Order: sequence, then structure tokens, then C-alpha cells
Amino acid sequence: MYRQTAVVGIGQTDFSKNSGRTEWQLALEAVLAALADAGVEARDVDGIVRYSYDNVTQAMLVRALGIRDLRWYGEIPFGGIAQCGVVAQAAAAIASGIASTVVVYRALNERSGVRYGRAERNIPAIGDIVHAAGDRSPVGQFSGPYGLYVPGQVMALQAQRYAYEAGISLDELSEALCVLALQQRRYANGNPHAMMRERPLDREGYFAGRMISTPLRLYDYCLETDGAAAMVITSAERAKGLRADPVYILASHQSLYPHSEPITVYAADLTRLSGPGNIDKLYADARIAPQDVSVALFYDATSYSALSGFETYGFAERGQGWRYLKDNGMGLDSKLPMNTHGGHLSEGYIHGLNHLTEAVRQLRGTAANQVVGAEIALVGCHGASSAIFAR
Amino acid sequence: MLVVPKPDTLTQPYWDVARAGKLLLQRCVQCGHTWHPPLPICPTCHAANYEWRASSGRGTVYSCTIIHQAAHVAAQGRTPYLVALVTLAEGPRVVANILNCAMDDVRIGMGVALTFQEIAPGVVLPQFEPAPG
Repeated sequence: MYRQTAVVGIGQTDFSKNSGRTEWQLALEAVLAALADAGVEARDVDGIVRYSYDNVTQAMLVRALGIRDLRWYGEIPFGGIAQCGVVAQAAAAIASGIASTVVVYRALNERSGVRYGRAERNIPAIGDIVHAAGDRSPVGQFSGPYGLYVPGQVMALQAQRYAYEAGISLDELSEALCVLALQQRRYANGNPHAMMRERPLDREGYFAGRMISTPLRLYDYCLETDGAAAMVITSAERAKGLRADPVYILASHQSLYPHSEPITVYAADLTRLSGPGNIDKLYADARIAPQDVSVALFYDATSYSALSGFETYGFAERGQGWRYLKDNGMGLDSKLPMNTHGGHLSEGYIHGLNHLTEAVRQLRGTAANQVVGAEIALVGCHGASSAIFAR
Repeated sequence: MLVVPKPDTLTQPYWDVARAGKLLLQRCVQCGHTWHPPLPICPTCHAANYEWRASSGRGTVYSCTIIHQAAHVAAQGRTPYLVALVTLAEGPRVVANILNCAMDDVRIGMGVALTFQEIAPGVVLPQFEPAPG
């Protein structure tokens, strides 16, 4: 897998609260932009990987794009951890020879349409008595009746446990989360595509944000966004003929173990959601060490999820990610710039695909907040899906 | 509006017996492993012959959060409320609200004891409250 495949195209729509278009239109805009960026004809795409959460199917893309023969298509369930799963599956299909040019995408009207911060999508709000079914946490029969409805509440439970195990107060945790939220906002203020480009945030504003689910406040949560992003992945050999600056995939992983599927309350250790040995293997497969990473893009449904990334991926000792952030920050001049586009907290929530496109921009040297000389980018969703890219 | 559990074939015994004041856990007859939420087979030895055994009702708070913003119409007007994760003495973790305790007094690591709450006629949830003593 090492350097056998590369990203040759990225594309995205504007990110807004109300796109005024269908998700199908958004997906097509992003995919066509990515194909144009790659210099690849739509009809030559022969593979697609979809997030199973996406309302736009492979068949809808094949039909609208006039793809001649889609010989391979797949999809990844469980929401956010599809982020690098789509990359892993695209790369595997190309490396094995099943497909040669694969499109991955995510399109959603998550603000004007179905909002993931609400539970009515899982527990229909019709009548006086409503039913929580299945065993998913949150929402299912063992959590919905107790008022545990949405991922953001589960992440609050995870953050609360983290503070306990780290031996810090919730105030100390919030100080670290504030560092993260403010830096992501500063990055967004420098990113013309970010939803929060014109909305500065300071410490006072962060702490004035209303409490949503202790210890997480308003600005600890991701935005709700209408928009889409897409990438085109092909073989390293073909990539060299398409452009001078392909972004190579060094390694890309997925991981599941009992109850680790999002959004979990039953995993044995809620403060460490990466499977055993999984991160060591990721770095070994990528033939790098954590200190080689130039820029990180950590999945940030909440600020806490991104903070945990510093520990998951070996930049801070367990229980010390909060201290690492307070001591080092994550700005362009820090040890490890993180979520340089503003992330889900401040650029927009495209379910992790906008973290992938930012990784590509950083390695091309075209990011709005460019890490000078960026060589290696790490993208990860709490160890459940991860990818390492290089120039 | 009230959110009630919708039992399925696998979980029907859990909810039926909750009405009788017991929290049932699946326990493998072959290897003794105990788990929750329910599974069709033992995840340790894969035996299909499990039994439902009542929990001792002793647990500790693994985590908790006070929810201030309603995320479903059913929670409108009911915030703030507390949701906890409780680790049972038998090992499995369950979701609960901690009854008979001020929200601000719930602490991770505190001992809790099983109780029950009838949220609608015939709909009973296993719940927890501070352990005596």
C-alpha cells in the first residue's frame, strides 16, 4: 500500500447554513470540481466509495456524471469514522487492481435538512409516546428512554471520564478545550472558505458560550453545515502523469473492536477508543514516527474528540493531552499545527472529508494557513480511522 | 411526549422482568461471562446457551453529564437533567439517571444501587440511586 496510490484531485462547494440546493447537486459540484482539479474525465471514473450516511448514492453519481462502467463501489457505515475509511477502501481497490480511478465524497444539508444534533431522525416525534428501538447508544432502547439522544451528549460523557482519569477538574479541562477552540477559530478567520471566517472568538466569548452538556459548551461543538467535498484517488503511476504534485497515501486504516463503533458508551475504556496496537501499525505501515508529522487533522465533532487525538496518535502521554495543548498550543509555529482549516468547529462540518482536502492542500503548499514545508499530514478519527499522506 | 423502550425478540425478557423489579443480564451457561447490551451468543466462547440472571444491583458511576440543551422534543422543558453511565458489579455498563440525588452531587466513582422507575403504566426503567451508607 505504501505510496502505491495518490490523491490527484480535490473539490468542494461553499459551506453554509442553507445551500439552497439538493445534496445531489452539492455532491456533483464537489465531485466535478475534484475531477477538474485532477484533470480526469468523469466518464473514466471506475470506482466510488460512499459514506453510508450520504443520501447521494453511487448510482445517482453514475447516472448524472455519465460514468461508463463503474466496476467497483463500496461504502462505509457509522458516520464520522468513514472519514479515512473511504480513503482506505479506495486505496485498497486501486492497489489490488480492481479499480484505477476512485472518487470519494460527502454531501450533506446538515443545517437546512436533517440535523445530527437532534434525535428526531432516530426517534420520530409523533404522538405522546415515542419508541427508542435497537441497541445503539445513544438513541436506542437502552439509552433513549434515559434522555441520552445524540453523539454530542455521549462525547460529553467521554470528556467527563477523561477529566476524571487525567486527575483534573472540569475547569482545567475547559481551559485546554478553550485553547483548541480558539486556535481553530483563528485558523478559520484566515480561511476564506470557512463558515466562521468573519467571526472571531476570544476566551471570554468561549466561556460565555452556553453549556450544552457538561463539560462541553457551545463552542466545543462542531458547526452544522450544508456543503460537500470530494477527492479523486488513483495509482501512483497514473498520478505522476496527471500532475506534478500528487499527494501520496502512505497508509490508511480502519479499526473496529467490540462497542467501538460510534457513538459508544459501552467500550471498555471510553478515553481510549483506538484498537490495541492499531496506531503503532499505522505508523509502521507509513514508515514514519509521530515526530515526522508536519500537520494533523483530527476529527472534531467536539473539541474533546480533537484533544484526544494528541494522545491517540502519540503526541502526548495518556491523560496529558490537555497539558500538551496548554503548553504548546497548536498554531502554525507550534510542534504540531492541528486543524489548520478551522476544522468542524469553525470551517464547517463535512463529516471529516474537509479534513482530508485540507491535508492535500497542506502538502501541495496551497492551504490558507500554510504550514511551511509541510511534508507529512496525518488525518484521524480517534484511531478508528486514520490516514497518513505525504508529498 | 415520552420516550419508551421498544423491546425486540432479543431484549423482551430484559424489559418484561424490569417490570418485576429486576435488572437482567445475559450470562453464558458455558463460560460464565456476563454482558450487556444483549447479544445472540456469548462474545467470549460463542455458546448460544445463555441465561438471564438478575444483577446484584450494585454499581459505580463511570461517567455522567448534565444535559442543558434538549436534543429531542421529548426533552423540551425537562432540562437540565443528568445522564450517567453505571458500571455494574458484574462488569457490564448501563445507562441510567441517578435518582434521589442532586445532580451536582453525582460523582464519578460513587457507589450506586439499583432502583426502578415506572415512567408510564407498565413501562419500567432500571435506574440507580446513591448506595446506602
